[in-house]
Amino acid sequence: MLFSSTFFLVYFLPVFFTIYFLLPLWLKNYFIVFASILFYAWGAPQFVFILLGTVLFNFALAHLIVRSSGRRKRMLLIFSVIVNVCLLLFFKYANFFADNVNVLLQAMDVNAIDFMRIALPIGISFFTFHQLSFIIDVYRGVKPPMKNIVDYALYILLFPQLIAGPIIRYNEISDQIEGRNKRFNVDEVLEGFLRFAVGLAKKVLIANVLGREADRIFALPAAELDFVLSWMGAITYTFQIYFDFSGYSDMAIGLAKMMGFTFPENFNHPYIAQSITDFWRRWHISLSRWMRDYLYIPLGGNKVSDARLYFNLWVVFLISGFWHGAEWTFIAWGAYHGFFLAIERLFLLKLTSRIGIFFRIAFTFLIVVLGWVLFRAHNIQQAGSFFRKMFSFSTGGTHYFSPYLITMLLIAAFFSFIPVVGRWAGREKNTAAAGIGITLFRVATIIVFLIICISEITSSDFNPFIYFKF
Amino acid sequence: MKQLKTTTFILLFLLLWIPLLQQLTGIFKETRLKGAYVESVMPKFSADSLKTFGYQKQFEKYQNEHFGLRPLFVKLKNTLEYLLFGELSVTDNVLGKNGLIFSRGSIGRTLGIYYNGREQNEATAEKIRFMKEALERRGSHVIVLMAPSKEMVFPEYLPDSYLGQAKPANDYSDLVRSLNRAGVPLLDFCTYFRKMKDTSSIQLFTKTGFHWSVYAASLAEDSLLHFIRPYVKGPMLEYRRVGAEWSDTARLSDADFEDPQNLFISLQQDRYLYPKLEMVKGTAGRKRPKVIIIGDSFFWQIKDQKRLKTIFSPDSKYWYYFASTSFPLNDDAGVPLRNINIIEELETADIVLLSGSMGTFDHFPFGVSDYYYEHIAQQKELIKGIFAYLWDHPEWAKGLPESSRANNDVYTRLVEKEAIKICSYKRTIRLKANNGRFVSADGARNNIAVCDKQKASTWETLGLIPLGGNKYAISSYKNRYFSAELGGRGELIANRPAIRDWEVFTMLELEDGRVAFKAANGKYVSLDETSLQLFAKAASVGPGEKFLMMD
Repeated sequence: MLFSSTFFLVYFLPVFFTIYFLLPLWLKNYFIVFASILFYAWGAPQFVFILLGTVLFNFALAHLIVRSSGRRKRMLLIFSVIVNVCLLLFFKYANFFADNVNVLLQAMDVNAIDFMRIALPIGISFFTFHQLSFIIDVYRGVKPPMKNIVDYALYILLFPQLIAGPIIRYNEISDQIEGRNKRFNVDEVLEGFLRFAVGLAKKVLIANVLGREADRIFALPAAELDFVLSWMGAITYTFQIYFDFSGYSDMAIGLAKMMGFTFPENFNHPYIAQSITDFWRRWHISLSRWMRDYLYIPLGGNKVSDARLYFNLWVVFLISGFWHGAEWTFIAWGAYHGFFLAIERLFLLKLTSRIGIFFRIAFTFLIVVLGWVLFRAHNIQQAGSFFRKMFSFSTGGTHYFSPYLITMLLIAAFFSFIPVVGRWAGREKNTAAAGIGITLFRVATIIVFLIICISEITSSDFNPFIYFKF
Repeated sequence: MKQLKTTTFILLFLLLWIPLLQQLTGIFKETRLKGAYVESVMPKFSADSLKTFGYQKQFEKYQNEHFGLRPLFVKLKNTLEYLLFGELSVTDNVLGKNGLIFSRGSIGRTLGIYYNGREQNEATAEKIRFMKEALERRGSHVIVLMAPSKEMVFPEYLPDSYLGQAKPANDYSDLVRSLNRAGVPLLDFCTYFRKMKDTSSIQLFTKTGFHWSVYAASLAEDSLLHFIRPYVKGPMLEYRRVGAEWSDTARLSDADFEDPQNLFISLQQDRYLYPKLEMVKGTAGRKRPKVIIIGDSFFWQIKDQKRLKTIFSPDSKYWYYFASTSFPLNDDAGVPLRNINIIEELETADIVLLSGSMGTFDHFPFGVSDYYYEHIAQQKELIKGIFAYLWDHPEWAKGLPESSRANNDVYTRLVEKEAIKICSYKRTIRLKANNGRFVSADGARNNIAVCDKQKASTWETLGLIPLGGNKYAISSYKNRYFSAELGGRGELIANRPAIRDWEVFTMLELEDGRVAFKAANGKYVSLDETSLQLFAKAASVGPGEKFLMMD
């Protein structure tokens, strides 16, 4: 179930929150878990028991870990990590590995292996990372495991973050789940609702419009691409992915806020980053932090030789790229970013420090845009031909882009490069003190955004003909 | 303050409930969205469909189309996008200058961006020519009507995004050239309308209409009736224009682009001009030709004016896109085309009108000429017989280039094509001999030609195939050729699969309207009064050698 569907907005959202607000505090967590299971089962009923099974498994193992010590404790951790990672590898990457093995076999004139395609459980990348975070935090003693399995299930299943994050580390949320003693706070609910509406608008009104153009251009044969189109495709996708993903994160953060949870921020104006290192502090922050805490630091972090450090960085970004999808393009994208992170540490940061902030941002943005071409392309060959066209400086005639597209592109660029806007979108610290004027403004914004977004969503597949009667 | 905030919050949540409550209760009366679209239906639940996400997908689609107040949401989106960006909600539509709405598909066809290519267009024209020549031999005339597109008549109002995109050729220009070369009667309103647009005071197209305006359609109707007059023997019923009237609202489909936009505002022009016509006195009893129209929606604009139903015969028909329905020219419901004998209808019509427009030239004439060609080509046994004759008599190919004749494969294909063409000229006849009985091939007696049936039925239905000059082959109902038995008694027998010299007859048209046939042995086909058999044995034409040929 997508947040940006009328099914969610018209059915799920009012029904869920009405019941949620009416329930007594001690029942709220149970209800969230119940609704989250329904939410997941609606989209992937065949995988709901796998998900619940992993919840039980990790919860039990965490309690065993906390009661163990020494080698046994370590073995339990390794066992848990292996099981979780293997599940992820099996469901997400088995097809990829089998396809590539078959390509190799065919190249050696050996018959390809006949295998059954594996379906991908929705959200497996996210809930696996959540479960690993839980197990590792318990092992490290950062936080004890939750006593009530329903509370743990809530951490894993909480529907705002179940499908697409943000990735919340266990130690960030466990107290909020177990210590549910907050009363209904209208300011917090309105703030959350506004954040949700802003995220929805980012997704529906901007990302989807830009996405249609990006899809059109990336579907063109290489021969029909030229300098203008290839750059248009790359730029529209650059803003699409940001507004799509950050919009989803806003919706997740907003919904969680309405339930009384505070999720960490996932984006911080990544396109004003002055280096790739800076970019990864601003883009998908929850993933970067997870990677840092649970992969980079265990590999040695910064306390290793320079050569090892660059190697570690590269490995982390290769894995990060592969985590995004089982395709060579994602691996290449991860390697690409890893490469720039390494050379920034080597010399690039020193070089760019002399060119001024404007050029630093522009240079970083250019690297990011080229990276998104790798990320979006269907395969490495397409990315290659896209790059060639981007730097061919040859035009294949005049191109027309609609005022609607151009307007949305300008709005996207404006909100990406002007960091003020984020604060307006309901992130003020002093929410309790918000006056009635601000409250009314927020409510009006929520209503306007919701109405326009529902209008846009429900009309997206409504395309009547003039005549159809025969 | 807190109470006020809480009240605001509660109101917000109540608002959120409105679509769902409206769906459940239907408190507010909702009007259906306009335009033609298929609504999804509530899916049937099953464990399998749930597991494979099929049920959820369909349910969400159904819910998306049926939640409360949805028409308002759709209209809001359409109106905002129109007002802010000049975008129209129907994806095929685009807003041109001065508020004119165009069809993207039709623009693409007009500018040649979407183009079938010269080869395909020439093949289309060739099939139409084939049909025209075949039907002409049966007394039916094929006429092509080319309706203009708004884009072609008013290219200056196209959006700037199409500037410089016109290609050197389009389907229309190819078809006009090829059809003219093929001698197919052509009524080209594209050229006509372009010429008259600067001088005419009437609206040829409305701002928000896709088709020609009602007024322009009435002009087209008038021109069409003048055009077909030479093909219809005798004067037809006539109408004359007695004035015009202005209307504040669009009639018929003068604003047919407007409705499916589903906007809160109106895009229509202020006023519309409509002609007033009345029947010319004294013309009511005149000949009403049978006309079969195969056309697109442009012709619908003419039909909707309801005059053709009084001018053309009641058995005239309109096969819209030659798709699934045969419509009468009055307001009665159509009947499925599959229940109609298409070939018979075409061959018995006075006029077969093929009506296309810029947006539909890509599949013009909607398959009817292919259908007709296939109908002829499927008479494989007859064609095989004609092929043998042509192979033996290569003089027919004298006009062909030497290269075609030298290449065996090419020549074989040309012979086949010619054979199909000759087969299309086949005339279905019945022959009544001097004894008042009909000629048939007696299947029970080795297919000998006899003349013993008082009524003409299936067996008595023969085919007369012209072979050039006054030479003919005659086929039986079993698609076997009549032959004057070589070396025998000159007995006529219908059992030959191919036309050789013994299957060729010279037909003499006699002064009394009857015909006689001379076989390859130089003798006339004659009725033996005793056996009622036919023999080629008479040296001259007497009463026994005369036949009355009936269609």
